[in-house]
Amino acid sequence: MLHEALRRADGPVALTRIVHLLACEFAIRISSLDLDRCLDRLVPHARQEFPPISRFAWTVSGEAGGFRLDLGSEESLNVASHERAAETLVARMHEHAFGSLAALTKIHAGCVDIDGRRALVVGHGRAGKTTLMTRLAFDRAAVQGDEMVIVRDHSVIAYPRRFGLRRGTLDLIPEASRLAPGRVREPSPHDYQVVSFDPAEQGLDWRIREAPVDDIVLLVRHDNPMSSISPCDRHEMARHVMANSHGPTGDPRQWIRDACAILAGARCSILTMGDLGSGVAMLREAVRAPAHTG
Amino acid sequence: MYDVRRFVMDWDRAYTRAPNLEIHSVSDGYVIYQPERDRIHYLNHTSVIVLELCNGGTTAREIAAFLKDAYNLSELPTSDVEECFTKLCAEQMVQ
Repeated sequence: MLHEALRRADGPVALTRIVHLLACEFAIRISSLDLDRCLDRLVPHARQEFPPISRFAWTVSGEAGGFRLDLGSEESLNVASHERAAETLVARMHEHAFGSLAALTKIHAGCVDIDGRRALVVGHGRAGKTTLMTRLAFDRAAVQGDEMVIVRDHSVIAYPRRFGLRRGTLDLIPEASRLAPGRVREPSPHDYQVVSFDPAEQGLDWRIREAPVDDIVLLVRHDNPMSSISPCDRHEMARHVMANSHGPTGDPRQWIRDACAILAGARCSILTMGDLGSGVAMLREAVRAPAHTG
Repeated sequence: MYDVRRFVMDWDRAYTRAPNLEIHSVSDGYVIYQPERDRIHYLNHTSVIVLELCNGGTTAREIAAFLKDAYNLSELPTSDVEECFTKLCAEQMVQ
């Protein structure tokens, strides 16, 4: 869980912001409220039921013309602005958090719990995972993440990351389009995401927890007006899961074992996405349907 | 590179499964890792049966007969079995 410990010392501002990213916890001592506000807009505010294993103590201090970032014993650097300092801190935090998960398989998938059943929505980049997950989040489904899950002991947990919304998503989801206009960036050739969306900031309950997978859904984009959903064989879904995942470095066996472990207990479907409303309804219906036996 | 056009089905041959295949069951098929080639294969039920019966003691013709009985078919599934063998041989999973 992300929480903030604010402590005002005599004299200059002294804050300690604590950021939790799965196995890593970062305590960052900050001497600038502007930097802290900037950082707050970049870190995910998901509550995470995952105990941190590694802890980092970093310090950011004001220097003439900028900030000095002391990132433990490994690194220190100077940056010119509080925006740049916040971006650098967030990038480093994700590098550490991600690095600590190197021994685990990751699957590119949105993850949502619907009526207590966990669905993974697998799909290539721009298949529509983020749009679907954002719609479900505003509909009060227990969305875990929009982009990536970590496989551990036959279960998955979403990697805590703000959702990167594209302009097309804003057109489809009115609630998202009403996010503070100042948060919408002009897209660049290298960064097509224009809004960084945090469900918790919108008053939604963003709680990340580990659980086995009940349904795996391959998301396919289509130009038909109506969405459709159909069953998929597990060995065929295995192909899609493998194509949208990467395993522990140098250990393909563990990668396959992890993929097969989550497939073993899951129903598999292909959701061909037409309009968003029918796609969401079909996903909900499919996940809620009683499991077949045999 | 194996040339599938050169594959000639020998119905009296008892094919054998390649060694060291790492097989993971996913209830309606297999996910198979082939360490020597660092390849992953996805097999449906029929291919799984064919692969399982490539034990060096069962001819391809007997495998076709087994599938005919297993799936209650009216005739031997020769074209399906030949296609399956073509792919399994091309991927060096049977020999």
